[in-house]
Amino acid sequence: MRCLVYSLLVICLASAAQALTIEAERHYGTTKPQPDLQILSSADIEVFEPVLSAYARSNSSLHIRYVTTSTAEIYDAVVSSEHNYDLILSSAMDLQMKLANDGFALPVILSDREAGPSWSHWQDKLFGFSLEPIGMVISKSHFPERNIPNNRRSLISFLRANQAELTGKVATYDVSQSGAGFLFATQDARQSDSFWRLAEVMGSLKTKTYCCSGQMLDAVNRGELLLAYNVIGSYAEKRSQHLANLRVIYPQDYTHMLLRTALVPREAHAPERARDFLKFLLSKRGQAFIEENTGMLSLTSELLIENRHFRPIRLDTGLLVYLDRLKQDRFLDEWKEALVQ
Amino acid sequence: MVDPARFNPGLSIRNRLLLQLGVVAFVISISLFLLARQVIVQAVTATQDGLLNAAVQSIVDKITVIDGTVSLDLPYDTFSLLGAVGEDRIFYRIAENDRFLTGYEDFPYDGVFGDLRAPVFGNIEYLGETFRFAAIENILFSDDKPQRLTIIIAQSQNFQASVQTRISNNLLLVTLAFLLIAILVAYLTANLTIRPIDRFTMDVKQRGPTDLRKVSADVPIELLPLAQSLNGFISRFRSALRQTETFIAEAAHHIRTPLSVVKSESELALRKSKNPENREHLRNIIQAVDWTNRSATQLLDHAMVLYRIERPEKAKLSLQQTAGDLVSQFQPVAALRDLDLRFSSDVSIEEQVLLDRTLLEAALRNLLDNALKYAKPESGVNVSLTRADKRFEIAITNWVSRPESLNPSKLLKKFKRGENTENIVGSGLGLSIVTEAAHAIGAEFTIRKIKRGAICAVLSIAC
Repeated sequence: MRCLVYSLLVICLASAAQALTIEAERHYGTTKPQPDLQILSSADIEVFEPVLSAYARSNSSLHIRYVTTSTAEIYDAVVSSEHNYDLILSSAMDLQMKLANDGFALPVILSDREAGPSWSHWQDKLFGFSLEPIGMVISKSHFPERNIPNNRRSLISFLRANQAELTGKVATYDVSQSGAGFLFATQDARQSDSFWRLAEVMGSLKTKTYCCSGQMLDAVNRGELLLAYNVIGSYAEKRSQHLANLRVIYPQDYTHMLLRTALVPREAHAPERARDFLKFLLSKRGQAFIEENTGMLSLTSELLIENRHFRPIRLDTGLLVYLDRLKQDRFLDEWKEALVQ
Repeated sequence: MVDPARFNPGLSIRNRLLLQLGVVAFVISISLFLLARQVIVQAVTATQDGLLNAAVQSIVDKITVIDGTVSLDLPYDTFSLLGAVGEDRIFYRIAENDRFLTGYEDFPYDGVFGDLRAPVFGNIEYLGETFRFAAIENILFSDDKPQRLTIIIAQSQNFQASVQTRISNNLLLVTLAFLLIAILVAYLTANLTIRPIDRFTMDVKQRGPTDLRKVSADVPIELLPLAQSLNGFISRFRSALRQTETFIAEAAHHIRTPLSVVKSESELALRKSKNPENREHLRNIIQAVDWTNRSATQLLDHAMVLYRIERPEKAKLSLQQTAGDLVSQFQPVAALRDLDLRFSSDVSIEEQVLLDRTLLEAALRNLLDNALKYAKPESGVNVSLTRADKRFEIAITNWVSRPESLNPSKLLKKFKRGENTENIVGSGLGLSIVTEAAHAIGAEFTIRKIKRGAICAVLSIAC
């Protein structure tokens, strides 16, 4: 068995040929001049590593190249058609839906059993392969066990009650920069009327905005922040295992579940290999790997059944709405008005 | 007469009818299928149009103009709903005074736009797929200046196609079932229609060779001319036949009288003649006259049997008595030839059957005549009447001199005689008369050889 030949971490390295900002890159399997399967993903290598290693172990003759970048970069690369990737994995459900709707994805023929639950895929082009709850993280050392907010209404009261302490110590995504943050915020706005009230309160607390979940989590752990709203659950759970100061909370009123999705782009050189990998991801074995080793949840996770407030974001054309220029401008304007006071 | 084998049989009426009804059923099924499918397409299209109309209305509801700027809050749920049913693709384009505002700028529509109450619907090709669209224009006023907003929203047709496929498949099953039932009904109809013709055919076909009764089966009106023609033909044929028979009978009758004269004159001449040569000639003449006389008698007999076949006069009679009487009548003939003629019966005199006495007697008389004629001199002729399994059997047995030369099947043909007939007066009509008379009274007639040169003729009559 040959796996994990070498790994290469390139931070913010712009590839001249592809005009794509590669955040990280790693190769699996047998090294060849031209990789057999190239995957462009928004999921951190560390998170996805076990799945890729497992697949490479059972397909040792393949040379797999795994590249991570931001969801916006992924979208731009696919739309411009200037890339040579065979499979696109992204957490930005809305952008992925737009790619599929606008005809940038190839159909992948999978049986109903292979494709997963009906809510997790759209046509035969976009396939959800893992779920992640979106929660909030508070500083464990600063807040005692009691009175911890477990829904948005109590969060608003909590923020108001601890205004002095929390001013400048609350953070959330910068929705104008982060696609994932924008998705979480728009889904919040759609789901609940209390969202704009929460935004107003967060604005009054001079809430900081970040590009990524990781940075917020580190800041909370260091004590620079006391609360981070709308962070990706898998990252939080993973870090809370070795960072002592993180407490992950999933609001009881509703907790959105992000569906990471995969599509085979129109320009894929090896659509069959991409299909095989996708089949592995969606198979029982692949899903078990995701659940056990990545911190993400499988599509059939029992947590979904146990926690009725876990609600997967619906993978449908409604997601296109917030990508509309006018709608987006309107939302960002309101967001800025609420948050920047 | 046309040889039936030379008829060129075309497609049978049943198959022709079945084919025509089948074709009609097939055409109706296909037409119904296409019609129903068209209705389904229209219904599904109307549903999709309704959905698109609602979507356009809800978008219009979310348009506002503030300070001369158009603001649009696209309704999430509308888009979610449009794509939810069939995972359809959605494209839209919104323009203000023909200036692109938002959506898909390259969406290729430059047709007319309807108003809010009556949007324009249609199909359009985009990105290699057919989309159904709704297009409207709406005039908004901003600072008293009219702003013309055009909105077009298009949805792919997965939902429509899947519904159509599903319903069409069900429809296909229903159509096939209908077709099968229609073909079954066509088959039954064809059979029912052909039944009177079958009956008519059977009525004609089942007739015996001498049955010249009129066809009396119920025939459909369409076959009435044929039946009437056939009856006309039969009646002409029958009358021609009767004329022939009458002619033969009369001819025989007219021949017999002068023949008797010729015979008696010849016998007289024979007695008077001393010249051996002349005597030989006269003997030959007498023998020829005997043959002719006998032939004439049998022809008369035959004509009578044929006549009675058409007009049987059935009456109850005792076989025992009839056969016994006949045997008694033949005793003198048997005695002349030194033959021992015996009659035995295990049937009582009270047991009677219903049949034409003349025909029965004709048959028995000819049989006895033949039996005595061809019997070996000084042998015997046995007549026995027995009852076996609901039938009476009259068996007449004699012993002939050369049984090996006898072929029973040949004997029954008209004017055919056996090979041991030298010096025996006969015409070859006797057994033909027996056969026809037996057939007319419903009896079976067989001749078979039995052991030691005996020939047995059996007349088997149903009780």
